[in-house]
Amino acid sequence: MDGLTSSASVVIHTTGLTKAYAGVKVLDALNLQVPRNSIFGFLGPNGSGKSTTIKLLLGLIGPTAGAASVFGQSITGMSVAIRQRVGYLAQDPRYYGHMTARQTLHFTARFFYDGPAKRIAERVGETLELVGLADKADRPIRAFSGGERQRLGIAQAQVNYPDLLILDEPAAALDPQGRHDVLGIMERLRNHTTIFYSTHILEDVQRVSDRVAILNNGRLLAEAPIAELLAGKSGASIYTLTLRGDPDELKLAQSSISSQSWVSGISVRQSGRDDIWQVSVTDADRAAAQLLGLIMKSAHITVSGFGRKSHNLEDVFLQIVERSGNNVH
Amino acid sequence: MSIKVTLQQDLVGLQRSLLQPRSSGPAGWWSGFDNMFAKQLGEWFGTQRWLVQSLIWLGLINGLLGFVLFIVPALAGSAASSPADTQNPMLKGLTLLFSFAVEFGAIGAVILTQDEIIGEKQSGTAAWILSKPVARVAFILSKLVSGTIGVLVFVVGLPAIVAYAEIYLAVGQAPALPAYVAAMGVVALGLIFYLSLTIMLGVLFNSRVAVIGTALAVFFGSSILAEFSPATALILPSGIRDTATALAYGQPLPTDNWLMLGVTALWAIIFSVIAIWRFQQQEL
Repeated sequence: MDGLTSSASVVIHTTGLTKAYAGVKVLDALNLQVPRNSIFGFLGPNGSGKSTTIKLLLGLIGPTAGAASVFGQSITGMSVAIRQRVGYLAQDPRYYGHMTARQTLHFTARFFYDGPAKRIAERVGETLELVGLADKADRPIRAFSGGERQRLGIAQAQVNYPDLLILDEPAAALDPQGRHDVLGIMERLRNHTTIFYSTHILEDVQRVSDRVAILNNGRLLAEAPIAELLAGKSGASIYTLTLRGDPDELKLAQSSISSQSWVSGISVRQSGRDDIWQVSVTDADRAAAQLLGLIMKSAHITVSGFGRKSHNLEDVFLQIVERSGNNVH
Repeated sequence: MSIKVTLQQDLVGLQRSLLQPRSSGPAGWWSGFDNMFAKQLGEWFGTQRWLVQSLIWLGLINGLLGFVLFIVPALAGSAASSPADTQNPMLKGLTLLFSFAVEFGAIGAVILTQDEIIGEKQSGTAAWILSKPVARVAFILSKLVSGTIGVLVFVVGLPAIVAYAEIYLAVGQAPALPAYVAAMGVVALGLIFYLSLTIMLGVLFNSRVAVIGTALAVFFGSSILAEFSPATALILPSGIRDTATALAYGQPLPTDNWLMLGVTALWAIIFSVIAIWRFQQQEL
């Protein structure tokens, strides 16, 4: 649980949260805990239930079964109070086209603050600066590009200094520069807010997230700190060896390694005169201590490369989703 | 935690403390109403919409009334009197006014409010607004109240003032002001019926055609039904025009008309309650 049992340290807590339409479950018994001041990446392919979860947390839709709380308050009974402390960016944000960016932010801020007018205007100006829209602040939104609308979305989501920022695919509609900027903003905000965001851009998650949950077909497949997920929670790992030598000796070495209890598989491919082995192991520590020694027992094998394959989130994500028996859409 | 981060948090806390949070209760049904209402009123009065609407309704109601009261008699000149000319000029003026105000006004109320809910649902702005601390009751009420004010000002109030002067100039005598105001109140009630009906339909349906079609079917259907079954005139606002005319002309109202007015008001309340109730259950 990583010390998540204290309700004060948990911002979002769901228990068996389920949503079904006409008997079809789009979210199936989700159990999730989002720690305070974390950047929590909510991963999954399109249609996996990410946006549904977010809409449930915001009270935009109601659960079929289960329960959830935000700041310890029930999403069904205390939705307005919860939203007082939340900033939200929708996947495809829409605003009143006739309003300017400044008017939109002013309108948004007025849901949270009574005044003073001067300070609200300053706050609006600060958020426009933060997202790089200060020079377009007085243009009607209907003329904004998708990227500009997304930036405005981030501005309106954090104009109220939210304790929890919920972002649904915040960088999906942005060009590389826009994505870079959005991730930068998230990193800047991490010191004083909790960020719960959904995405299918794994590179972004790896860059900014502390903790990750993987969702597919409405079911939670994994949830862990990102470092733990990348290291492999069970100790499973892959070692890559580049070898050259007598083919018979190589075969003997392969069968010797395969017989080790901590080896789960070996794949071999040719690269010029070299053999490239990928040894999947269940105990990385034992592999590190013994694997090279087993190979070096043969004097007729030369080892020109040896290393533990570093995982990226994409590998982990695909492994987990494939293991769940479902294809990524 | 580094000193830099702590200082940053302190700075944010300080900036935040300079803003005065909303004082509404944690889950009040009115939460967000004033801001939504101000925005809605701003759309009526803060843009050029007020000018456009003023011109439309002055043209439709007062333009047509003026045409019938001033131009038609001038064009007719010394031609033989038609049966209509034998009608009391005051009654003729009031009948025309309330015909235009009710017929055009009801259709106008439907058209002006048909997009209020459905447009927000379809564009996604309703979901955006309701991701803020806005109660769903407040969202619907802001639409109902601002719509009522807009319709009352542009479709009833402004034309009523000008029509009062037109009738005075045409007839040489002004209608009794209290009776005239009461009659305009009756027209307003009829328009509120159609406005609340349209808002409710906007909540229930996801198609503009269904909203406009149903509301106009009620409007035209109520008049047709009243022809065949006078009892339906008691439960539908088909008698608004005649009631308003009689009231403005100083005639006593039969009990049935009072009953019809009460039922119309009740319908408007029922439509509003259904709109609020259904909207609270809707998924956005």
